[in-house]
Amino acid sequence: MADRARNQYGLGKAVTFNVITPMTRFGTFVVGLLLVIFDRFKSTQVTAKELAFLPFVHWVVVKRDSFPRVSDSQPAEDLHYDYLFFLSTFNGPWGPYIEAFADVLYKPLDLVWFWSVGYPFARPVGPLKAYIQRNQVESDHSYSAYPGASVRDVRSALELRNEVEKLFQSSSGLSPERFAVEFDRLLISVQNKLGTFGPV
Amino acid sequence: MANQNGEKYGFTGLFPIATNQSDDLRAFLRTLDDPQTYPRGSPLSHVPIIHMARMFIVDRLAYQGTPAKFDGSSRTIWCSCANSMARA
Repeated sequence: MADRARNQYGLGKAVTFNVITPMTRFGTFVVGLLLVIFDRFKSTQVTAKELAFLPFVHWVVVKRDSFPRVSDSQPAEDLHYDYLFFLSTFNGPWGPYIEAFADVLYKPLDLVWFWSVGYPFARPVGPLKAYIQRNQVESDHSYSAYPGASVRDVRSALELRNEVEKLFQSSSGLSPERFAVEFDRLLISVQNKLGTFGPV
Repeated sequence: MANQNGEKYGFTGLFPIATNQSDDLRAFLRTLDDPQTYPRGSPLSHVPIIHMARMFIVDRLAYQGTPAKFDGSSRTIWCSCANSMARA
């Protein structure tokens, strides 16, 4: 399962996802413009950030005359289309990931992928899954610096750290008995932030 | 800069593969997560600024069906792609 990052303890929670779709020159122009807008106006990324299974998303446009060659002796590509690379990392199973995208992010998905040849729109999700399967390329190697942590785990850990730091700052001078009370209070309040960090 | 989001930089590289070398390259890439050799899952774990990365080989571009045009041929094997996020 080369599309899933791992370490010595086993397979991780991060799965890489690569889809390459063809676009006409006009489609490339429009998509380039849309991606500039998405990048410039970060508010367009809020919904994607709220999806708690998406550590990473990356769109790349590669024009037909930009594919590299080993040397001049290697034949140059003679392509009819430019290509849009959609590269993401997600947590969880493939099917629900696509369904969540189609359900929550169908507008930006349709806006960008509309210009890809053969795109069936995000809804209904069945044809979308078929389209993705046809154009998906499996990773041959995947790496994550924290394969055992999902987006939820990382966010929970950051919140937990903040709470522990608050306790640290407010606890100097407390008696051991009082500290024990405050520590128990902290532990109860962060029960939902103690994630299961580790292999799948 | 579209490659950057906050402190993180997204790198994407396309590298051409010499003719008839993609099978060997793919086999090699698939050994890189051997936990015996790389306990943390990859030689990339030695680079502390990399959060995530993937590498894949594009043998061919998918045909979308009529009336779309077919792109590429079986002899055209051209790139592996690495993508990573690192602190800028």
